[in-house]
Amino acid sequence: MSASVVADRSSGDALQQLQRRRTRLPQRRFAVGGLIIVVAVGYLIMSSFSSAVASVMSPSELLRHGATPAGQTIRLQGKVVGADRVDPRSLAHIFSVSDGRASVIVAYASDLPGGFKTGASVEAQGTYDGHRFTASSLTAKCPTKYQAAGSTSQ
Amino acid sequence: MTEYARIVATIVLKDVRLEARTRQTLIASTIFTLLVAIIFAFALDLAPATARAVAPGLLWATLAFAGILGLGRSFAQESDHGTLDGLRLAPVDPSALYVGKMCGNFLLMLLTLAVALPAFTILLGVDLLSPGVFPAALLGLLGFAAAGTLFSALSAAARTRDVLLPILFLPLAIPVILTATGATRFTLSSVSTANALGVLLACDALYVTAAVLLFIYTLEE
Repeated sequence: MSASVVADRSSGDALQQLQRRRTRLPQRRFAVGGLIIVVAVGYLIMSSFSSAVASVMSPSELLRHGATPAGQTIRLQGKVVGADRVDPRSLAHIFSVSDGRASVIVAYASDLPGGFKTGASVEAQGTYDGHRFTASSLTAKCPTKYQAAGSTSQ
Repeated sequence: MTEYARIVATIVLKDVRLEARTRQTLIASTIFTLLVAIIFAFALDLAPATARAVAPGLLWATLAFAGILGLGRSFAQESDHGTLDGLRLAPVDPSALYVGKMCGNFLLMLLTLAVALPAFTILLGVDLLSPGVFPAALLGLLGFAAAGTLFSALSAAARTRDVLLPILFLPLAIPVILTATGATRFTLSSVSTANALGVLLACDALYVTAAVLLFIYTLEE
């Protein structure tokens, strides 16, 4: 009688132990898996955030920095030197931007902004492959201050 | 752990042996890849500079659709042969079944890649066989196989599984396909791919982990 009670109790203990192990394994797995997912999502957010924020550089800084990593855009500021030409194959405008110390060749595949001319300050946003800066947007800054019509003759 | 690895190896060997005997998926996906490469090469007739810009996109679109052919068969053939119940009833960790199936699909997609890279290199005149292409290709295919295997199991029981799989799975595969395309393009233009490879690695970790945790629910009826 007592032997069967002991056997029942031990089999009951084993069953409980098995059930406990069964519930513990998924819990631990979900905890570790959840941590991996959180870290991966955090990395994705951080990498997209850092690539969305474009750093401002002059041509000499850009040449020191070298090619931009994948997905990272840069804002290049400088003055237009020489005339622009149109690449007959890609129909992109090709021109040089300089800061007085170094110059970078810029390719821009859309229409040039109104204030664009030789000597004008421009800001181009895009990527640099080590040879050429490919701009996705281009802004020309006005080289002089706006003045009232009558004040220029004085 | 060794027991887990033994189960995974058993599943992979079973799938490889089955594929070696029938060659259904392998023949379908490789011929599809070759045909698409030929169609793109002659239909688009690209200039060298344009070909270098669009080749990564064409390559990954082809790999995605060729991959779906294999992924669809992965669990559908288990369902058709009546062996899915056997897998369900096997006294093993369900996640080991998933990892085994995923490795099998990954190997199959590697064979498709081995056909696609030389075919696109020859037909489009772009050097896709340069060593820099392989890390992006391997990580991209791993993420693709990880998510695809889960959705293959999910859609296996449905009558419209051939339609259901691409509709459910492709939206989730878009980040992997786009990042892998970007990484391949940057490799061809000699730009650093470190950021893109990091994103691919994070996507892979995300997909594999989520699939390992969720696979058990796809086996329930």
